[in-house]
Amino acid sequence: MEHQEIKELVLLHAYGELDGYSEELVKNHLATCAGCREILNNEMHLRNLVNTATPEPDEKLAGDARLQLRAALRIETEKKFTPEKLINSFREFLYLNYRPILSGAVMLVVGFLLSLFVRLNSSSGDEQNPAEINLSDLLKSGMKINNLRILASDPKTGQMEIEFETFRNVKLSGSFNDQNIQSVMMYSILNDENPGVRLNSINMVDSKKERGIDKDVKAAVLTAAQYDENPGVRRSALKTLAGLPFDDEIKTALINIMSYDQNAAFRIEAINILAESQKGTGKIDDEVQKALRQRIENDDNNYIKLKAKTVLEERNI
Amino acid sequence: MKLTEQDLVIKAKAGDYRAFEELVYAYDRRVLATVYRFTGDPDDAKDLYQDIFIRAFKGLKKFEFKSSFSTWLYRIAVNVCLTHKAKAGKRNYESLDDPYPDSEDSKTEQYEDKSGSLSPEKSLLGSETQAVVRKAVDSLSPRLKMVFVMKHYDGLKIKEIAEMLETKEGTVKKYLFEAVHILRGRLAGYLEN
Repeated sequence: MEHQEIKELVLLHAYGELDGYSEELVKNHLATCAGCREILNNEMHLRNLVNTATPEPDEKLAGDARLQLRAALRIETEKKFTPEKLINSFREFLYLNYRPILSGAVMLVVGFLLSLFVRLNSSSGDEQNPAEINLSDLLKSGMKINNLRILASDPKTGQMEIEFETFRNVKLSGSFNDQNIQSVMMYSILNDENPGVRLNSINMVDSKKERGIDKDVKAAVLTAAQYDENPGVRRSALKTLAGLPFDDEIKTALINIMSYDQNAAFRIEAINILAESQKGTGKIDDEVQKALRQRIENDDNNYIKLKAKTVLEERNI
Repeated sequence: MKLTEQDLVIKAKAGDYRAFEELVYAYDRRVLATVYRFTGDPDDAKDLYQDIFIRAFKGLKKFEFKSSFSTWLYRIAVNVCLTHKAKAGKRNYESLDDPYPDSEDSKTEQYEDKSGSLSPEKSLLGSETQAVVRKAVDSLSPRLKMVFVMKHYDGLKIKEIAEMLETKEGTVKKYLFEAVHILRGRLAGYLEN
């Protein structure tokens, strides 16, 4: 083997990339070649020097990055949520409740257009205007018209085309466990732009939680507790979680809040709920222990460090 | 029972967000370390980290288990890092004639040290030495730097790096030797001491 090839193998030996025959070959060569020993020494020096400057992300950077990622993922999941999950969740609801409304809207458009056509073209006033019947009935039933636009109008023939939107308030009656009502709650908690509405929805869930809540509603509350931008909404969601049967999903959410919520009060509350949940179990869950230790080491709030330490010490950990 | 990585990927592919989150937790520290070592800037590192996982999230449905999930994820990480450097191409990568050599045939990068060796006398010891080393590593071209970071800092094998860069092991070796050669030149004064 050429000496140049051996020199290359010496570098690979330094990187721990050789095995078997090649490794043995290099070792034997190094025993007799001062030049290659120097190459190896230089390589090890460089390695040591470079290793002293290894950039390592600290806990804060890691925490911030995760927090940012969660927010971004939330947006992505909501994007996915809207066309797929949401439509599926509401499909039944829509078919059950909106079918008459949609049919009515179609009838309204057809009728209204027909009435306009008849009115504009009729030379005698004897014909009955079908739109008057449909329109008044539908409007009496609460239907509203919005954004009327004239799309086309022919002054010679009198024909025209118009477009408008119809909407109607929907009232739902039923028990809290009704699937439709829980779906609306879930949608509102996750998507309503008004934090007051999100808060009311969570409070409603909280007040009825003894009756049992749907898994999607629970997921919405978990999401709100961790990611809602409004602290009041997060606080209410956290309070609701405290009253639900403790499980792994809630544990993970509480650990996240304890680790990453920027509001110290929520981190403390998460520790309290976690500590309470571990009572009577005789020991503290490994993940909870680990998260508490991280708080002791990394939290910038001394009370939280003390609180986490106390929780562990109370269990002699 | 704890789910295997494959189980988690299957669930995540089916739209299970919690499963995806578990996959994130399994690798995000390593990914963050790599991007931070690559960029040297915490804000850039956060942005790239997010970009990587969002791309993974969006692209998971196309993942077909042709490689391990971690290799696939790292491949995304490498692409995001290299694209980032390409976008930030206003920076001058010293010694670059061919900034993105892609194949064995591509032109070998120039070895000469256009910035000159860094004089230890002009710097203080300790953290300043670290800063000098980081600057030297940072001045490598994106691909040389990526390979160097993955090998020296992340401790990956050449074979693994080749798989992630979707190139040949020989190419990775070449990049690695070039990176080391350049660094040895730039840090010569420190090595002698």
